[in-house]
Amino acid sequence: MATFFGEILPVISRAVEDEEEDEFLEAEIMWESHADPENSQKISKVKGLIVGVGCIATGFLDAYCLQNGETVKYGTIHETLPDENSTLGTKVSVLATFHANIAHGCCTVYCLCKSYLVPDKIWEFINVLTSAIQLDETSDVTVLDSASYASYLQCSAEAEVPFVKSLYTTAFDKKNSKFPALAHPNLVKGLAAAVMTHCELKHIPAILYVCYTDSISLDLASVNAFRPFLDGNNQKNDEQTDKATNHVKSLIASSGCKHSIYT
Amino acid sequence: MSRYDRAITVFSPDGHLFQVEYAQEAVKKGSTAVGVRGKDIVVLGVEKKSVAKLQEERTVRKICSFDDHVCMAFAGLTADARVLINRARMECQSHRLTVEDPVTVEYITRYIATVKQRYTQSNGKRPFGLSALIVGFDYDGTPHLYQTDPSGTYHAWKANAIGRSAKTVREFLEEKYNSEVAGSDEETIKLTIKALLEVVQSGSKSMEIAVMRRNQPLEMLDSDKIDAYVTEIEKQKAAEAEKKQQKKGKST
Repeated sequence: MATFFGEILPVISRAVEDEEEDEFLEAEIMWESHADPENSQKISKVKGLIVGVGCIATGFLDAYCLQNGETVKYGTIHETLPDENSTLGTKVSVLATFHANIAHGCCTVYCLCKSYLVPDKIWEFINVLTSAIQLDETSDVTVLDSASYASYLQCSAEAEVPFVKSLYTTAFDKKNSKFPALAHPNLVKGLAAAVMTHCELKHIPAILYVCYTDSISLDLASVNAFRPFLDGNNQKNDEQTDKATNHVKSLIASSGCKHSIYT
Repeated sequence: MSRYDRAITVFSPDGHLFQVEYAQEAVKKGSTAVGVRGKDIVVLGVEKKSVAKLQEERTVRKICSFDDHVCMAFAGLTADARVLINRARMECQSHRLTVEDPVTVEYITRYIATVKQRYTQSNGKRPFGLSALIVGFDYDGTPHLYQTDPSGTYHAWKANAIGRSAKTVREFLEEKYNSEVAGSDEETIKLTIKALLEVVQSGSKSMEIAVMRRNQPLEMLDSDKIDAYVTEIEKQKAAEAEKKQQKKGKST
C-alpha cells in the first residue's frame, strides 16, 4: 500500500483467503560411513584425497581407479529431506560416494560427486567432507573437474578439444603438475573451487585439473584427456587400459544421455 | 562478443556473424561423414551411431537420396536435415517436371546453399545447423562431390569430411588421395573406409557405406561386404607394418 508521502507499507490483502504457509523443509547434508570395522583403522589416516566432480571426472576415476579390486566403499554424503507423505522415513539423495584404496600401506580416498551442488550447499558439503576425512598439511589433494570449452578464455588458438589445465595451491610443488597451468582470466567455479579454497586456507597441497570439452555428457575422448594424471601414479598396462575403455563405454551406454538431436 | 551473438542479422565490429559460426559448431556435434569422388564412382561413408535397444535402426539414417542420381550425407542437427532434404526432393521433382531433365548435382547443391543462406539473413530465424556432402552424376556422366555449410557456401571437392573429427579425416584424405586411387572403384571405396577407420572406434559395425556408380542407383553396402573390406585393409596394414620392421632390422 502506498501512503500519501510515497512510503510503501506491506499490507495483507483481505481479498485473498489466508492459507497456511507451507513449512519450508531444509535439507540436511550428512555423512554415512560404510567402512568395515576392520578397514576403519587402516583408513583413519588419509594420505591422499582425489575428488571427481561431474560425469567426466567421475567416469574417469570409476574406470581407471576403482576397477582394480583394491578399493572398498568408504561412505557417502547424502542430502536428507523430511518426507511429508511417508511416516516411514526420509528421502535421501546421494551427493557423493567415497571409496578407499588401502593397498600398499597408505590410504587414498576417492570422492565421486556426480550430482550438481547448489551454491548454498557447497560450504556445508565441504564442512561435512572435512569432518569425515581428516586432511592436514601432509595430505595430497587432487580435484578433477570439467567445464565447457565455450567458457574458456584464451588469447591464442588452443590445442584440440578436449584439453586439461591445472590450478594449484601455494603449498603444492608446481613441478608435480601433469598439465599446463590455467591462465588468467579463466575462473573455476562450484565444488572444485570450494575444495581448492579450503586447501589454500589450511595450507594443504592441492591441485585441480579441469578438462575443457565440447561435450556436455560422458564421452571417451574427454575421459582419456585425464590419462596423463595416471602417469607415475598408477601405471596402466595395455590390458588394464582396454578394460578401463570398455568400462567407460558401458557407462556411456547406460547413462542414456546422448545428443539425439545431432546425427 | 555477447552483444553481437544473439541476433542472426547483426555483424560484430570485426565482421563476424556469430550465429553462423555457432551453427558451424553444431555441425561438429554430429558424427563423421566422408565423401570421396572417383573417376567412375562416388562414395559416401558415415559413422553409424549406436541406437537405443527399442529404436528402429532404419529410421536413423545419415545418407539419403534426392533423386536416382544424387544423394547426400549430413552432419549436424537431424531435424534441420529432414527439412532441407524434403525441400531438395521437391525441387528435384519440380525440375524434372518443368524442364524435363534431372537436376545437375551443382544445381541442387546451389539450391540447398541458397536456402541455407536465406536463413542467415532473416530476422527471427536461425541458420540451419548442418553441413552436407552431396554426391552424384550429371546426365553427361560426370561425377561430382560438393560440400555445403551453415553459412550457405558450397564448394566442389575431390574428397572431404564433415562432422566430429573431420579435421583428422581430412588430413588423412589429403595424404592418401591421388589419381591412382580415384581411377579404381575398389580403391575409392577402400579409401573411404580407411578414412572412417581413423576415427571410428569399433570398426566395421559402426559405419555405413553408400556407393553410386554411373547410370546405377545408390547402393548401400551390406555389413558383410564392409567386413570383407575392413579385413583386407587390416591385412594390408599388417603387411606394411611387417615390411617396415624388416627394413628397420636390415638397416640396424
